Amino acid sequence: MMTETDGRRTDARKTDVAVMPLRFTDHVPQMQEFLSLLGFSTNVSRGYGWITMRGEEGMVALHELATSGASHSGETSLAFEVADVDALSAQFAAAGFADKEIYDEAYGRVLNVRDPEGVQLSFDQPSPDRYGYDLNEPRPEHGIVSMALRFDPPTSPISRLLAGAGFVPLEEGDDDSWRVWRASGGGLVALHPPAQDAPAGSTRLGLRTQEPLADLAARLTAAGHPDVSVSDEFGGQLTVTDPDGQKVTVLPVAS
Amino acid sequence: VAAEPKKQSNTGGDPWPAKLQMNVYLPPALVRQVKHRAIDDGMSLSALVEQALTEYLRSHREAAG
Repeated sequence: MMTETDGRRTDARKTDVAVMPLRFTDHVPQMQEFLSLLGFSTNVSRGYGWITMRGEEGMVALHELATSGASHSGETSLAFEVADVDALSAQFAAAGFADKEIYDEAYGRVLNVRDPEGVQLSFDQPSPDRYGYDLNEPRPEHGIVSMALRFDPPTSPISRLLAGAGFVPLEEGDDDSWRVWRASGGGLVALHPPAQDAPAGSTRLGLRTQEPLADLAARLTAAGHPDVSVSDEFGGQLTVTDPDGQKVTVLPVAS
Repeated sequence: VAAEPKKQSNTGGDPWPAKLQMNVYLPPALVRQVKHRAIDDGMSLSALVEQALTEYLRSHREAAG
């Protein structure tokens, strides 16, 4: 039976996948402060080169742009964390995915899985010793939930990969608007059709919260964010520009 | 390919269009040492192993030569 401590699962399975949108940025301290204001709490860090933050559900990672291969500050990629890439690979194999590889990195191991059309997802398994990284006990606040907003049609092959990784679709949206998938280890992935300013395959940081949007808006405004707006569109949404100049949308947690 | 501290392009300045994955078996303690050294040196694991093997081949070629 699942139990929770401070909002975090304590019975995690080794194949539980956590959603971890990865932001490449020239403004790591400012992004860390921004995300803290929303309710995320720092978990693992190595100076301002690499930071992971945990929400009530899911994670967000910040990577210093200068040491990355990313093209610009604000670029975001779809990333995931899992405790055991071998076990997750076996789960994918049982679901019919044969095109997989596992390799070592300094910080751990990585599983890449591709569907027959070449769409690929990558899953990081951090080293248990966390050598070289500072660890903090995360204390997320305000019921903040990480959501990667991926611009691909809801019917795209990536949905099959998400299902193979144990994601479950929420009872909202449809194949024309969007589909939201919940990860077994926390966090959401929303598949949204590409738009003029959101090319296919691109990812943005999206968030959801249990906090009343008016309360969050007041806190952001008090902290000096000048462009916070709240609307009733789509059941309520808050928009704000983050320190990278990217628009971030915060929606209420699905009821 | 992810790198120190996390993810980094592995193609910058590389004269080859792509890199190949090579699987080898090593003692766990050596794997741990190499990974820790890559983190200490701010390098990806691939970059560190590439550098080490290149230096080994160069030094042994010179020694043999």
